[in-house]
Amino acid sequence: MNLGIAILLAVFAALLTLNVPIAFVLGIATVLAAFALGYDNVLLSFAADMGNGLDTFALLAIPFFILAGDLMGAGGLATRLIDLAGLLLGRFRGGLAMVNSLTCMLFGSISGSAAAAVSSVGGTMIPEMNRKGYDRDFNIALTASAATTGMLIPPSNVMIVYAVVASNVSIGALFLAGVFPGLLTGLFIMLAAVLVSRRKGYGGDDMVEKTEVVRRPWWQVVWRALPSLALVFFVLGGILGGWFTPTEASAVAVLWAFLLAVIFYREVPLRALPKLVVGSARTTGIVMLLVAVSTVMSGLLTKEQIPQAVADALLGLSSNPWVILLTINVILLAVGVFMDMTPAVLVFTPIFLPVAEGIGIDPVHFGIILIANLCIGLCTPPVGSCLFLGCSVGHSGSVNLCL
Amino acid sequence: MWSRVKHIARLLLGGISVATFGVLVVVVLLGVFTRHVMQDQVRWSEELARLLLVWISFLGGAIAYIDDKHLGVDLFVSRLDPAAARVAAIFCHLLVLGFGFFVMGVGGTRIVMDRFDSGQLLPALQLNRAWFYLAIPVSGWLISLFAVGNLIAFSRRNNPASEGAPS
Repeated sequence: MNLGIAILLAVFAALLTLNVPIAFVLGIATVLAAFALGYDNVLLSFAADMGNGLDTFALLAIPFFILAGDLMGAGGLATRLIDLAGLLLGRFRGGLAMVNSLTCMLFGSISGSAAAAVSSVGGTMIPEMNRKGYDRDFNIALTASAATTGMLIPPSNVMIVYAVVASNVSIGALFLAGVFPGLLTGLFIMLAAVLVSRRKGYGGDDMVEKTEVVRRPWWQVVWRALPSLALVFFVLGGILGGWFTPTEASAVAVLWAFLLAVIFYREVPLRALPKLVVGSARTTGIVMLLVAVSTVMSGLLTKEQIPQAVADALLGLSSNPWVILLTINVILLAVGVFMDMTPAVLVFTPIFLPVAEGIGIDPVHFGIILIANLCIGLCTPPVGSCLFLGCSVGHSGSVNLCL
Repeated sequence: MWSRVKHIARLLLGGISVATFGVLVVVVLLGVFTRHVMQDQVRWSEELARLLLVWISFLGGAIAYIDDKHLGVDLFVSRLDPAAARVAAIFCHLLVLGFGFFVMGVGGTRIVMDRFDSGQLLPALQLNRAWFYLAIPVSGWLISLFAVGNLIAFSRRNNPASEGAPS
């Protein structure tokens, strides 16, 4: 291992523990490594590469899906989806748990963000479930886990990040590839939720209380939820039908979410709009600054042939592709425990993708593996943004994870 | 005084980012509209969108620093005693200052100057590419300014016990 890379790793680890923001950690570690390796014009080319890293039309989908998600979160889409899920599943034993999971899946899918799902669905469902005798910790854990399936079910913001980093991966193909694994994970979470509910006797009296969840006739519930669900069809249908690029689809999603939240549902007054948009711009800044610095870092890693070195090491471990794939999976799980999703995708895609391709895994397939693994990390402490968000929404200091 | 500066900067940045976001949505939708309805997509829509994307990203990054919202790992720092956490927080702001000032500010200014000298134009907009890179030093100077502000605020605070690390 050369000196520059040793410096990169050491600085990265040291600064990460000191709670320096990850974007700056990556930037500082890369700059120091570049100096140590004796590159020319480090400051100028670092700044230039940061700008160039963002100069991709596909990346525009990120701010748009963030804005659309924020609009939907504030725009009353969650309650309408909860009503719909309640209509479908509320009558069964453990029904509220299933309603919660299904709504999280739907909302996480539509908004492309697990965080938006936890805060807007959890904000309504967790207190509701607490009142009906479900254990609070169970409710929070369930919401957090179910919300992560939204990262796999399209549209999904991390998939765009992955597609841009991996290059030559079609966003449309990734979106399609995520549908089945996402639904499957969601179904298993629902199954687990029902089993836990039965064993612990949660929600036994749902039969009496279900009328509270759904007060309207069924056709009205469906009718009210339809415009929210239509978004998925717009976005997916538009992309697959060749009408728009994923970026354009995300702009259409913003327009639709705006129309729903501000004009049809009228839950977001125009006065409140600027503050909401500034919040979206801020989230955009967080994600995009990460994208910018990690482009520079992965450029340096590639120049020093680190991905090849890692690939050689992993391929030297065993000639069996299954063993290598499992090893990568375990590493990704561990990474997900300590790192947030976007930085993890940005840092580890360039390192592991060549290995995966080396053992014959399609980049689209690998993207889904990567995201599915990192999703689990969103619910695990110490760095589990979904779990922590769930705790703050559900007013719990500490949580025993039950799934 | 400092909180006033912060308030005004926050308002200004907020206003600019709302306007940029609005224009972005309109520009991209206009691209779709002209392609499907007028059969001929306006040439500048994608280029302008990419230019605005860089601006909103870096301005948003500055807003995130002002609001202390960047992602970090506070697992270890949150277990330190208040005095040590304070030292860690000061160190952290110093590093951000260094990165914002030297890499984004100085390096960014150099690339902007370099592009102005080369006279390279964006093909459809006929605008110098320097305007694209300008977002980086602007964001860098803003981040440096607020890092200095944070450091001054830290050094004046008499009661470190009430202060945690920034998250």
